[in-house]
Amino acid sequence: MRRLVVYMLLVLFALLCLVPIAWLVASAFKANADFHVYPVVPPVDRLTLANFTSLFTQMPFLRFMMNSFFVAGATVILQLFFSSLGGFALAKYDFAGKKAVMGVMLATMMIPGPVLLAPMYELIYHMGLIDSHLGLIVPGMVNVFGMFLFRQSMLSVPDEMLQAARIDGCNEFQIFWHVVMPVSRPIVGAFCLIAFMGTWNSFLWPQIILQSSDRFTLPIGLNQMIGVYEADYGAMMAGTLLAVLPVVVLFFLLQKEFIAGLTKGAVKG
Amino acid sequence: MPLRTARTAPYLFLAPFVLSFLIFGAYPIIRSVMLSFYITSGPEAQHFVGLDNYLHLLQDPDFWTAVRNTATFALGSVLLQLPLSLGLALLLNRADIRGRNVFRFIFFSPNLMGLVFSALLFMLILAPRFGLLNAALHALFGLPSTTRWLSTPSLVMPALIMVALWLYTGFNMVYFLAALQAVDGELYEAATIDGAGRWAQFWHVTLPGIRPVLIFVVVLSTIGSFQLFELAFLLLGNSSGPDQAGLTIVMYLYQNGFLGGDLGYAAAIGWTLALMVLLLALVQLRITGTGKEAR
Amino acid sequence: MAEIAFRNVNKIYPNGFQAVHRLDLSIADGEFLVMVGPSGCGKSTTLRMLAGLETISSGDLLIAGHRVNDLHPRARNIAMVFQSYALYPHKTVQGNIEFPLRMARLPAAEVKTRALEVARMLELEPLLQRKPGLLSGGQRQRVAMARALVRDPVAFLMDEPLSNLDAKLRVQMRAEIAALQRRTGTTTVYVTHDQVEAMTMGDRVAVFKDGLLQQVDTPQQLFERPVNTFVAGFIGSPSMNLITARREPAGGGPVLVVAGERISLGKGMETRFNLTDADAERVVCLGLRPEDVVDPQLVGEDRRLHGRVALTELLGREQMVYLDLRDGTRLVARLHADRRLKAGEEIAVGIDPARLYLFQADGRALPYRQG
Ligand SMILES: Nc1ncnc2c1ncn2[C@@H]1O[C@H](COP(=O)(O)OP(=O)(O)O)[C@@H](O)[C@H]1O
Ligand SMILES: [Mg+2]
Repeated sequence: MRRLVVYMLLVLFALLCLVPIAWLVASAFKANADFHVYPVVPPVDRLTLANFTSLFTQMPFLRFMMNSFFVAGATVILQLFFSSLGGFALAKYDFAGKKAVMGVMLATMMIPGPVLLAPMYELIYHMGLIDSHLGLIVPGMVNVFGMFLFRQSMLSVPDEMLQAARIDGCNEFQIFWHVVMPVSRPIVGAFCLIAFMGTWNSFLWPQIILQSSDRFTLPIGLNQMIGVYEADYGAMMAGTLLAVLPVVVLFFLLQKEFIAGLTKGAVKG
Repeated sequence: MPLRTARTAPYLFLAPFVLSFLIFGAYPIIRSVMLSFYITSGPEAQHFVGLDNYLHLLQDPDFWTAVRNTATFALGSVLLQLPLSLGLALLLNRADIRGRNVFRFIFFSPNLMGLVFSALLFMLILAPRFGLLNAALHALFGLPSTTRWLSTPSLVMPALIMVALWLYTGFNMVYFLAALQAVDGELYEAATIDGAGRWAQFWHVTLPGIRPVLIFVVVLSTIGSFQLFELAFLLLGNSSGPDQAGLTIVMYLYQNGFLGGDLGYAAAIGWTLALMVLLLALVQLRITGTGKEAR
Repeated sequence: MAEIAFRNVNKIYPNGFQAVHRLDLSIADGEFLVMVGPSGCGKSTTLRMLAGLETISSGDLLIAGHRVNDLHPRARNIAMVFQSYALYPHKTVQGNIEFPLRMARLPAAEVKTRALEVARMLELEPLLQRKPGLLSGGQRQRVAMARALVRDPVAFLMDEPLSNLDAKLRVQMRAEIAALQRRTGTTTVYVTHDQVEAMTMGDRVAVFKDGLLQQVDTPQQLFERPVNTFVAGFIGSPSMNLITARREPAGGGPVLVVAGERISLGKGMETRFNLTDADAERVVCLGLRPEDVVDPQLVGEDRRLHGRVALTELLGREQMVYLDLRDGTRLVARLHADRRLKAGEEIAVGIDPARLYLFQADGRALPYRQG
């Protein structure tokens, strides 16, 4: 009996989570004229692909998408490389200044992002990167959180494994590349997902930096479309749906990485 | 660690990160402090004013409106979200529940949509006449379908809080569930043997067990809520809503710095925000007694 | 060819702890050398300095006559088997075995043939495509061996490679490793804290204590001619009895006073020592292995000790007898079990001077007789 109540509560909340998403999907296939007629779901025979067509033929949606992929892809790869390499150094080597580096990084993590907007804008302005994708990518290279994530996870890579690699003929970078990174695959997957979601959804900074509409990323572009193509709700929902898809796909691709306990059983009897 | 190559290696590995950190992390922080002592007009024209920005801020009624709005949002979000998240996590953590992973995924799914795209979606869901919310309220409770959520001052904040609730409840629940699952099951058995009922178990086993995560989530949610921008900006636009009902601190920073061009004032707003967030976090840690334990 | 030599090597860790003191040790090409000693005595440190995993604080390490102190491990061409095996969890067994060859940039075809060859030798062929996580402890151990063997290294280093296996497998692998080494003829340095392993496997055994090399010798020499009380007590199981003794001046050959009783050593020819009177003066400690305690009937009255049985343990045909001698000194004896002794019983045991070890005040053994 009690169990039934629990299930009902869970299902109720699940519905609350899913209904808006379902409505998004339905609206993406809803003709603009039908929005006022069928606020919830139109009959199946009235569903249309027109929104998607106008998205790609009349609006620069594809451009936004490409821009977003470029910016997010470049940012994630740079962040991944810098953070994992830095995290590796902090996790697996002893060297003078290590404590200081970690202390400074931790301290800066406490500072809320908006504090940096003004000086960063000034900096990017002086670097001549206003209204460019580089202006988004370059300041996004540093991911202190990611570096600590990698450090934390790489702490548990056994020293003997690194030593074995050294003996087997790896130089220090090859140890990182051939052993530590492959062993850290789950955390690499998790990091990529988090970093991708972060850049993909980044709004405030692109809103400040980007000016020309052919450079817009999806969040900026879609938001702008509301003003320009007034009341084209269908296209907006279709665009939103498509914009969300890459994250969902990536999530399902990388979900395995969390689960795979790769290091399990590799060390000790 | 042996040998010359292995001694220089960590420095080489850290170099790209540290260099870019110095340029895009450390320098802007220092520069931000300096900027906050200037009145600027765009990145080129600057005029030193000392602490004037801060003094002016304290008397700036718009700033205090922003603080009030932001605090309302933070309070509403944290007070609604976290108990709900914890409750759901407790339900899901029951041994007799099947389909735990499916529920967890569903609860988490709004988060996959992301803040920006959720805001775009809710712009239509909250719309009068054809929006889903009004349609649902009309169908279920017979409420009028013309409620203008985003243009009625008293409804703006509740609307924003609701969207945040939808977005983040499941996300926080994932944390709580993980924490609950990490509590040693034998503790419950021991407590049962010691005669503890459900409520006593929750109070003496569950809560202490998830305390670190609980505090972590409370502090992070508060800090995050105080940086509210995207949701308000996307739903309400540059104008920050009717009667400035949706004006938040970061929005005010944006308006001054990037619409008005006063980077100095923006920096001062930023540091004031940082200070408030820091104080809040300290107060929260103090209340929960975390500082004492560390000592 | 590839002789290895430590010349006055010291290791001081960054925290100031000196783990290895003035080590001088040469290992011949093709030799199987075992380093043994209690935990924390610096065996691993020594091995890791040899591998290049640990810096050498002072002194020289020579491989084939070249000083290699500052070479990265990859430049030393040394293979190593770790206690934890340290297999790469993301690579298959084959991937693990091939890895050192790939790092050496050998042609792909050769990499494959050599890996298969080694896999066959170690009977790993059926497991080649598995990941280490799915192997048993013994199988993982073999993969670790294979990864080391595949390389044709200057030397083969092993740090307690068997300590994670169960007792039965350990005995089996002990024999296999020894046989493998004989077959390949590769110089091998093997670290263990288990003296049985050391004595059964090594051509020579180096005994360490507190970072100091005590003695390097063949197992037989170690057993028969330990240089000091530490080696004497460490080698052999059960441990040698070390009992305070004192020379009593008397005519007709030296006599020792042990636990208040007199033991006649005879004319000196009967012991393994060159026992001049001057030497005999310096004796302070007598060593006697439990199995060397003899039936009192076999020796004269002047070579007996008396005591009360404190405890006995039956070991099949023999029994371990823990005896409290007259002055309370504990003596462990391994006696035939045809008559079970009981606690509290008063018995006599015989001492055969030929089987005694004699030590001086500083713990060093008296000079042994030549030949
Ligand atoms: N990195 C280190 N820093 C300081 N002391 C160490 C370090 N590694 C080992 N030691 C110390 O050096 C001594 C020898 O260690 P080790 O060579 O590992 O001994 P074992 O003979 O058991 O292999 C031990 O007392 C150990 O505590
Ligand atoms: Mg050791």
